[in-house]
Amino acid sequence: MTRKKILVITFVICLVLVVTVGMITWSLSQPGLDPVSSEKNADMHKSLEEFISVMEKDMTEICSLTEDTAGELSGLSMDDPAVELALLALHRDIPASYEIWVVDKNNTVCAITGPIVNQQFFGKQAPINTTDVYQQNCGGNYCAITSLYTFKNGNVGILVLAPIYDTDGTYSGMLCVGLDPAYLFSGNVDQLRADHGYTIWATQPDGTLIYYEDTEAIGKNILTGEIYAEESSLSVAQQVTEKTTGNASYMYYNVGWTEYSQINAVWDTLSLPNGRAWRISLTDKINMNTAGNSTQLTPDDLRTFVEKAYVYAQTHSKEEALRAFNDPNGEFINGELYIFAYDMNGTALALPYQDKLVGINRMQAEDIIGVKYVERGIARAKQGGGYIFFQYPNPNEDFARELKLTYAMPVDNNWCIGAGFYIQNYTLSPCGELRDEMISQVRNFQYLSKIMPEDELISLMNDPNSSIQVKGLYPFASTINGTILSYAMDPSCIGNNHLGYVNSYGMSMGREAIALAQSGGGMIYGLVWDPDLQREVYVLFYVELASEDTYYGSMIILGDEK
Amino acid sequence: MTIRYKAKDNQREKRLTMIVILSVVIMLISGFCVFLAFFGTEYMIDKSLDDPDVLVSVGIVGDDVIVTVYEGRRIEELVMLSIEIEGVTLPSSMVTMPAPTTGTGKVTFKGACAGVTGERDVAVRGTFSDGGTRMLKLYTVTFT
Repeated sequence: MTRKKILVITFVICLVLVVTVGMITWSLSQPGLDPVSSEKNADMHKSLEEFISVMEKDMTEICSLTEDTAGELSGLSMDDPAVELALLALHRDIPASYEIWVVDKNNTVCAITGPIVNQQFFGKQAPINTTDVYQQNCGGNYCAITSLYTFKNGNVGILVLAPIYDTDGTYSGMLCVGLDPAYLFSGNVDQLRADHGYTIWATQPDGTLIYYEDTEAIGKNILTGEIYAEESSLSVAQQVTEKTTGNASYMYYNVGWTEYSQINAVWDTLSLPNGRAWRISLTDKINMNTAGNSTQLTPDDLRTFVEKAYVYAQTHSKEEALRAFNDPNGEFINGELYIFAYDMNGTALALPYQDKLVGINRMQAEDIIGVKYVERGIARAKQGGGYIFFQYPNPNEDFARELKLTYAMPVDNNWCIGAGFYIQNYTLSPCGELRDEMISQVRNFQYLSKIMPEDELISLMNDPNSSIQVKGLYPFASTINGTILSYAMDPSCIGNNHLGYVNSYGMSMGREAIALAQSGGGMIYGLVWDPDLQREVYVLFYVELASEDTYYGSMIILGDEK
Repeated sequence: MTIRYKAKDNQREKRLTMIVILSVVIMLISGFCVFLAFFGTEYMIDKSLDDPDVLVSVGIVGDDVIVTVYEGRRIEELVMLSIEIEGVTLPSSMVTMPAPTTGTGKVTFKGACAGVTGERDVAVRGTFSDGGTRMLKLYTVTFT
């Protein structure tokens, strides 16, 4: 063997050794998956079974209500007032519903509930062929539940369809109920978190997420790498879609993407009344607040911080300002405070800790309760600046969801900036049942307004002993110009104009309620004066526009104040 | 004595050289103008951004319109602030308020937007010590 050959062989051996050692070191440095005890596995499966059973009951009830209403519409002409009443009653009875509409046999919208803006769809062709979609999804049942759709107004939801027949049995149209999947799950998930410390994500069999705590992920697919891109999580995602039941562990990041740790999951299949199935996965890694450290910042500190950014944005070009706001080590980061920026259409321009969201439209982003915080923040900015509340993961509290106070203000008519801090060390979530009742109460007012004169309805709202009152709820009604028609929290306000009323944060809840009602209705947190307690209390309120000049609302007092 | 005439070709060459030189000069001047227009405008915009007369913001709190004065090169000359709300006739007592005595701060136009709803343009004007008036802010406010 020549000297040259010996050198080559020695070099190859060294190379192999270096590569082997490197690979061993790399594999050892990767976090391993710890086995899950059988007790924990059993507990997770038991919690999941309970959750699925509750969800199945909810879905069966929704289908049953939809079928009953379709039956009521049988043989009715679409201009019969009974049609509108039947739709309003169904809207009231399904708080998770967006809007409810009917298409005739030509697939033209011939009746629709909801705000006045919805009436633009009246007489128009439905965006989907409802009879085809029904055939594909009914599974031999009367009621069909579809996969996820993006509706015309940008909302993502599921459709529940039930055909309407004439008295002689001929097909005359389709009853369509749009469901908000985030709302559908969130009440039960909140209960699960509180009772057992677990959370849920749910998918269609094709991997499309129909529920995820980060509601912006709903509609994304777990198999395409949009959510789970790492090997262990992608493998579990594949197992979840392939097997009807199972358990597995994977590595994933926490809510704030700061910690990469093991998550244990168990999953099972929720069978829908039409034979379709959703895969429900229960996981154990949730962010619960235990520390309870309150911030030392004041609302004035917050406004001053945002105003400093306003001055910077006004004295620099937009590009320079956004570069500074997006810099996680820049001057616009101060402890838990940081500046974010959005254009007035809801597209994120600066989010220093969530740079992947920059450029994405977040107008529909909701907190766990259903408050559209980007939309409401922009609404405040359009008023020249103001505070809003919503729940958001707190990076200083292990990303537990906490009530956040945010101050938003406009830079000009095209974009706005803001910042926020966490003001409570506990989550202000009302129980799902009371939240459902709050929505149902407001929708019941819509129903009643069609069968009785408005002044009679207002009298009922003002009567604390009337049959429409619900324990724990405070109904109210106002004109669009701000005159209070009803206010159960403080009846002495009735007849006053509430546009000028401001709370200790300078928020005009009256102006906010009107703006919210006019934008299609929804939920928002507020701080209002409680005359019984003689102090301000945190509330969650829900409003809907009743007519061109009136809106109805209801509110729940949050926390343990009462 | 021999008279030597320059060849005609030389004249042509001279003209050509002049044309080339003139063209280059014109191109250089044009380029310089474009450069000035481009970077000069940017500089002017940046300069005006860096150094506004008076920087203010306008917002509403209940029935009040709040104008906040932040900074600006003429802030010490600012004497009065006035507002206009599109479609609203304000009593003269509500239209004009003295500028903050400290230069910066908030000026409240009490009750200026009582009962005002919808979306309207709000203009903020400043009156300076030399008697001059200048628009400081024009913003479309959504009152409800």
